[in-house]
Amino acid sequence: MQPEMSRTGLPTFVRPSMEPTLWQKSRPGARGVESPGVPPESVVSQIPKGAGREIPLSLPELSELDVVRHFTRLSHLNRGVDTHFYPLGSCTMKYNPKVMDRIPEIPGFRDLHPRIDPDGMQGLLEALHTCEETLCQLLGMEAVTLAPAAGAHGELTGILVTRRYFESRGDKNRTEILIPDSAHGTNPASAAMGGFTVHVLPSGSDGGVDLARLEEALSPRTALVMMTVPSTLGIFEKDLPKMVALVKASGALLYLDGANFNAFIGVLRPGDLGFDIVHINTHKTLATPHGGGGPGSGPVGVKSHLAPYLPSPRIRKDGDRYSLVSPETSIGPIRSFIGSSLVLLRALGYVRMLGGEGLRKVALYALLNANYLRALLSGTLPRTGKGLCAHEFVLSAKELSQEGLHASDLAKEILDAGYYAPTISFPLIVPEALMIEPTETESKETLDRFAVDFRKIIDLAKKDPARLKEAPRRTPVARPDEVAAARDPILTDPASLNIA
Amino acid sequence: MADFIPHTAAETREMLDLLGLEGLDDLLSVYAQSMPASGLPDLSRLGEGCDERTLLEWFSSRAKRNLHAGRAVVFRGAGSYDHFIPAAVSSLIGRGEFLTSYTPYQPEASQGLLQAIFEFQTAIARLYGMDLANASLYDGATALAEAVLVAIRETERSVVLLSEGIDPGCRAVVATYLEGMSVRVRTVPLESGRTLPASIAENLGPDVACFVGASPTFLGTVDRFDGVAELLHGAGALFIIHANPHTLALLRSPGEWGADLATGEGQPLGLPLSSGGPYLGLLTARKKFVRRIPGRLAGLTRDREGRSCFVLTLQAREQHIRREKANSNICSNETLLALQSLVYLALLGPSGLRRAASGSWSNAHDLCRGLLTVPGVSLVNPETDFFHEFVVELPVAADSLSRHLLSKGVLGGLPLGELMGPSWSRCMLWCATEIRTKSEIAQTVELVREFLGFR
Repeated sequence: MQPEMSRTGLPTFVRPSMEPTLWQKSRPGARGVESPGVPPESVVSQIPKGAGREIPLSLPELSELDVVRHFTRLSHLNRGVDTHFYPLGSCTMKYNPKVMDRIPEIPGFRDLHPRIDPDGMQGLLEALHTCEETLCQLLGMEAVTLAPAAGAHGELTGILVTRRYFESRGDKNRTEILIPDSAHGTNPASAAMGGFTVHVLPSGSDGGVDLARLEEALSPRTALVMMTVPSTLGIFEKDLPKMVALVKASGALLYLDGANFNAFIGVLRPGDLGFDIVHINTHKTLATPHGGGGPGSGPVGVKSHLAPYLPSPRIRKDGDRYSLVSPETSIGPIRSFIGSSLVLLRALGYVRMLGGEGLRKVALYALLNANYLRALLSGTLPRTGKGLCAHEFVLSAKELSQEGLHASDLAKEILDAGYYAPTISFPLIVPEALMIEPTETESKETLDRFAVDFRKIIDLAKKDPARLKEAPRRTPVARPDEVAAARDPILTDPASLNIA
Repeated sequence: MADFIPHTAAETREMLDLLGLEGLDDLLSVYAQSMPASGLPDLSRLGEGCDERTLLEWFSSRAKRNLHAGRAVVFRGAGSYDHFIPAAVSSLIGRGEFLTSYTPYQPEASQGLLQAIFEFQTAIARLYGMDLANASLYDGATALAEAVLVAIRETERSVVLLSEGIDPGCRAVVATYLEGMSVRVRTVPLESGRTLPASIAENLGPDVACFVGASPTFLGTVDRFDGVAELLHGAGALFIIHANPHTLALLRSPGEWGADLATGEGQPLGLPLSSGGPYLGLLTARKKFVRRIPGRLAGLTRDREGRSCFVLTLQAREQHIRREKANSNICSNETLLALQSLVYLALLGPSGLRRAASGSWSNAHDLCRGLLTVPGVSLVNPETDFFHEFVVELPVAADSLSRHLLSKGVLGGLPLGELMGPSWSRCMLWCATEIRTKSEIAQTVELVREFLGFR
């Protein structure tokens, strides 16, 4: 886009224009792709009276080229890792290798029916079993379920497994789950869905779990302690071994939210650290694409004492033959079929391509990039924590509030500078948080450029805060009215109601 | 070996120098207290890595041991359907701007996806005849479980009635989701493949949160719900319908039956069989439940300069704001697959979707007529119409026929014994979609005839 000079001498930009909706573009009678089938008239007469659809089928009518242009235009109004540096903390927006896109396109996986007899899916079961074994190795765990569709789904799975474990021991008093206040919101939400009471652990002054508070909170009612290491502040708990010992002594189980596994893949194994349960997000650490919010996948690893309770079906290997079984002790199925196979195969592909040493290198460079960027940004805004960070770090824009600015204003200016924005307003324990995670796949050059731009933005914020309030200028829209959207929600296209 | 780390040795050195570190391993000091005495773990069993060609060969050789839809003619549905998918679908959803983006929390940089989600919500709400739809859940089974949770929260009641017509696999998932709650699930039986309002009424009481019906049923029959909404609402319970979206092109929609919430598996809308996942959970609702439902919602609004645009809205329902008080724990959903189904629906349009659904109906009825010409084969629930699936009873164990057909390159109907119990062991659930041909149908009927010993 070419900046034009406005009368005031400041550059103004022509915003890319928005795209009409499918229903606004709809042309009655237009035909898209010809589907196999038969004319509906021959069938409609056979549908029993009263069981047929009477209301209109309000789908848009467009040609194939209309549709292709529409979605291509929409893609131009969207930023991804392929187009922009995406330092969105906690989300591990690393490069998704293109070769992995080929795996779910292999017809033997893409077009395989999940209810085929086991004889017809031996290749799939072998690949998924390999995936389970590989994750056991990486996590230091004794069994893995591939069923959970996302991290939060993995949490719910781990929590239901915990419930079943204590039930099987006749221990009915353990009704509470301890969760640090810096945890992802999914942790307490999953605990509540699993029927547990949530007890929040306040963070200590260094942003880590306060050992004394943990000790105080642990009781015979504690079923599970859910931890995130490194924490969402990018700080690895120094007292972790002591915490593990305390939890073990209390008889509770210990859960690791592996959302930040990218920081220590191949370096530390959750099982070796003393965790009983861990979930990882393949769409973070194992480079499967986020897809605009999904599909993800959230495999869960457990120690052997919890393996009997994992969701059904389980993959069983007898010699060279694989089958699916549903053990009596299982919590039951947590979703349809085996798992998000096409996502899991991509994740397995990533692990196989990098190998053990390659994966360890991922962690080392995730640490290097985060610390390098942290060092380049020092002196801009205060950081929570001291010394080396793990894979991400959190800055606070609180001092800019005297200029009337929020972290969100900085984020909009960062968008204008040609990046996606860091995570803002999380973790909740840091006021005006900016959470930055560069990942290992970004080059030094990108980090250098981002640091220069970030410094300029902070300077501008201090000198001319009003300018930041005007951001973003180069995006298709600026500062949508979220309050109005929530007051009287419009969740479907009004134009779709005009189609008869 | 590839690792996708772009640093040159000189750049790594410069970066370490800036940090005052000698080597990369110095960064591991952040883990010092937790590092086991044995040091770094042994990763030799994870292999040494490989190049692209070797990688794809490994997967291709496994894939060769699968009998996918190109190698076996699919006459099996039971929750996963082999439908036509236009070529443009995969090229559009493969665009990196969509594929490699995150949840659209920064609306200015995410208008493309936000608009697509908004359009998806619109298409699904209109298809189901409901006021609104969310931005997707994991799959049909978890969408149903979440809808049941909405009903439990809304009514503060503790009994859930599920029609026997709901896929037994989905019913099991609902039971797992309810594991941590003091909620009882009762099954309302089907009579000749249909739900009798009297069977619902028998189970109704002041503790019933909802009844869930299926359209069509797992057995393929077209269930009807005349008077069911009134019956349930009179008892203070909610009405939920779990419907296959493909069939809604022709069948009465959940909205027309008076449902409060409706769910479904979105796989038939342009998603391949995918070895079982990822699939697409659909959840639709009446407007009055908008603040109760789980999952993301995209809404229409205006920006600072008055331009019409899209944002994620009503986030106060969600886990990142409400934590343990949230409507659900869901965060990642199935956005890319929602986009995929939207592209499919846009390419087919209303006439294309009706044509495809009519093709499924027509082929399934042809297949059924053919199979019934084989002596010893009878239709289960002959009194009730079916859509594109139906159950036949065989004179032999269904497993043996299934194995035989697979050896001949046909994925025949699903033997029901394992899912439904031993009394169903001679029953088979068949399906034909719009892409089956007359000759595939004729050849399959002949294979069945041959196997059963009547030529």
